[in-house]
Amino acid sequence: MSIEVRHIVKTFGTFKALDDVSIRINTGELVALLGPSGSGKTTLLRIIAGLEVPDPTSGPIFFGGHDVGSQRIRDRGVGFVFQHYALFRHMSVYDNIAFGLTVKPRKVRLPKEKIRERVMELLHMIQLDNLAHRYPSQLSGGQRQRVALARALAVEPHVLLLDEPFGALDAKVRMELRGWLRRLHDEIHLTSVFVTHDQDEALELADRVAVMNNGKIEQFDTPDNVFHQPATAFVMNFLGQVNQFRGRMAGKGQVRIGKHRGRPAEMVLSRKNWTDDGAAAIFVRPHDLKIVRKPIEGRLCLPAKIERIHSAGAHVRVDLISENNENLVAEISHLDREQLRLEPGDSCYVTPTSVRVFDLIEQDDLVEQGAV
Amino acid sequence: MANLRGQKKFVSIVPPGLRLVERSVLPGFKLTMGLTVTYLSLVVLIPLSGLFLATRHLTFGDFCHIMQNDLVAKSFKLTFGASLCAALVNAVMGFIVAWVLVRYRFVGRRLLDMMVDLPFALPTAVSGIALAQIYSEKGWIGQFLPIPIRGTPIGVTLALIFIGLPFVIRTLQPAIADIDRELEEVSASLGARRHQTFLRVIFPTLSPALITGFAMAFARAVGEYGSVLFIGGMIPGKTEIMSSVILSKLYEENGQVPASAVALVMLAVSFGILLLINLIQIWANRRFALAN
Repeated sequence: MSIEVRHIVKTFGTFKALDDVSIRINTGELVALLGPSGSGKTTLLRIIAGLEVPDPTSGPIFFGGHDVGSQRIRDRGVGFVFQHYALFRHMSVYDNIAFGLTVKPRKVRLPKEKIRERVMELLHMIQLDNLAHRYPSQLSGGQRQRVALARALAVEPHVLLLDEPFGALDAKVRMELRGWLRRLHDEIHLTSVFVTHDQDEALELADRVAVMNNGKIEQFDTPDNVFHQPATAFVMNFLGQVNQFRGRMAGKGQVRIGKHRGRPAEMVLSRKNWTDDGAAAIFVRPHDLKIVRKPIEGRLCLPAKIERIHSAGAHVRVDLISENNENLVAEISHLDREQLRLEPGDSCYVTPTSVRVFDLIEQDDLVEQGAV
Repeated sequence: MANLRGQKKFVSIVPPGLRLVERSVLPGFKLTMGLTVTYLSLVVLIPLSGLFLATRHLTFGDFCHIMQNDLVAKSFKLTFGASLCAALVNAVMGFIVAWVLVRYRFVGRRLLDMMVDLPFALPTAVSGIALAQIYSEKGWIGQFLPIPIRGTPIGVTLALIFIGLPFVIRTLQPAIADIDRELEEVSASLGARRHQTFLRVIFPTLSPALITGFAMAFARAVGEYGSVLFIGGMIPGKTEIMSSVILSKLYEENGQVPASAVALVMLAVSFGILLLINLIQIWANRRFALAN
C-alpha cells in the first residue's frame, strides 16, 4: 500500500520538528529516512504510524489513497518496530508474536490452532523455531529484534514502519540483520519505511532514501543518486566523508580555492552557468582526491603535508594538512601508496579528480558539478 | 618467614576460590560485616528468640488449647481477616491513586502526593482519634451511615486501610513511572484496545510492585495497634485484635507464657505469609527478568 503525506508540520513547544514535509512512498517500496538526530525523521515516522498527531495546519496522510489522518494507530494497520524492541517481558516469544492475533475482536479472531500455525510460520521465518517458549530476557539483541519484527508482521499490516531497527545492536549482528531484512522485504514486498542515522544502512538497504535535515527533506532519491548527485551541500556533507574547500567563483567557469604560492589557485570546471563572483563551497570525496609527488601542469594541485596514514583496510586513508591548515583526507589504493612511497611527514600535492561546488550565498543550492 | 613488622600473618579461613565477597576498593568489610551481624542479632534475632525460649515448656497440645480459646480465635480471625481486607482495598485503590499521581499532571498534584505520606507520619493515636470522631454515631460521616462503624470490625478495617494507604502507592509509583511508553504504543499498533493494553501489558508489568506493596500494607496492618484501639475499642470477641489479646494475657496471673505462645503463633503466621509473598515475587521476577 502506498503512503503519502502532504505538507506535514509538527512543532513541539517552540521547536519545529517537521517543516512542511511532503513525501510519497510507492507500494512495495523500502524507504529509508536518513538524517542526524533532531532532523525530524522519527517524528515523521511516528506521524505516519499515528503515534503522533501533526499540527492542525498540516495536510492529509494517505494510505493507498485513503485519508487515514483521523484514524488512530490501532485502525491504521501499521506494523511498528522500535529500536529497543519493546517486547512484552512477561510473555514468551510465542505469546509476543501471537499478541496481535489474540487481541482481535472475537468475531474476526482466528481459532487457536490457526493462530498457532501462523505463529510457528513466523517463528520459522525469523529462524527461531526452537525458542518459542523462551522469554525476551533469554534472547540476544538480534533475536529480540527479529521477534519484534515477527510480532509486527503477525497482524499482516499494510505498511511496516521501523524506528532505528538496528540501532541497539552491535556491528556484526547489524550487518547480518540488514541483509536478512532486505531478503525478507524482497519476499513479502510490504511497503516499509525505516529510520536510521547510519548512512551505510540507508544506502545499502533502501530502494530510495529521504535525507532529512532541520525538519525538511533535503533529497528523496535512489541511494545511487543521493550519493553521487547530492542535491544540496548538506546531503553531500552528510553522506560519506568529504573534503571541503572554501573558495570564490571567478566567472568563466572558474573557481578559486585559497591561495597557492601567493596567487589564488584556480580550477576550470567543464560547465559555466553560475553567477560570477560568489562565495563557494567546494566538496571533494576522499576517493576523488589524488595524491601526486609533483604538480601537474594545467591542473589544480594544492601542496599538502601527510600527517597520518591508515593502511589497515581495503583502501589506504591518508590524512593531510594543506597550506591553509585545512584538514584533508584522501583515499588511495595500496598500490598507489607503494608506488608513491608515501610516509607521514612527506610533502606532496593533492589534485581533485571530481568536485561538486555549491553556492555559499544560498548554501543549499547546487550550482554546478564538474570534472576537472 | 618472619613478618618484617612483627605482625601476625593473616590466615584466611576461607579456602581460596571461595571468597565471601568480591574484593572491593573500599576497605572495612570485616568491620562493617561484624557490625551488621551484631546489630541485627541484638535488635531482631535475640528478642524474637526470647519468644521461643519463653514457650519452650509448652507442648503442641498446649498451643492448640490456647489458640482454641474463643476470644483468642476470634481476635486471630479479626486481625488477619481485617488486615487482608484492608490490604486488598489498598491494593485496588492505591493502584488507581498511584496511576493518577504518576500519569497525569494537574493542579494540586504535589499536594495530593504529600497527603499520601500523612498516614506514615502521623502518630497512630492522632489518626485513631480523628477516625473515631468522624465515624462515631454523631460524627460528620458516621451520622449519615446506616451501619455503625465505631466499635465494629468495619471500623477496625477502616483504620487498617488508613494506615496501610502509603505502601501500595509508594511502591507502585516508581514502577508506573518506569513503564516504557513504547509498550503501550506497540500494543496499540498491534490492534489492542485500551483495556486489553492495560490488562495484558501494563498490569502484568506492575504486578511484582503491586505484590510488594500489598505485602507491606498487610504486614503493617497486622502490627497496627493504636488507631484500632481508638476506633474499634478493643471489645473482646468483637473488635479486639491479637496485639491486645497478648497484652491482656500478659496481665493475667502467670500470663507470660500464654502471651508468648499467642505472640509466637502470630510471628509464625506473619512470617509464613511474608514468605509466601516473597516466593511469588521471586517467581514473578524470574519470569519478568529485565529485558535490557
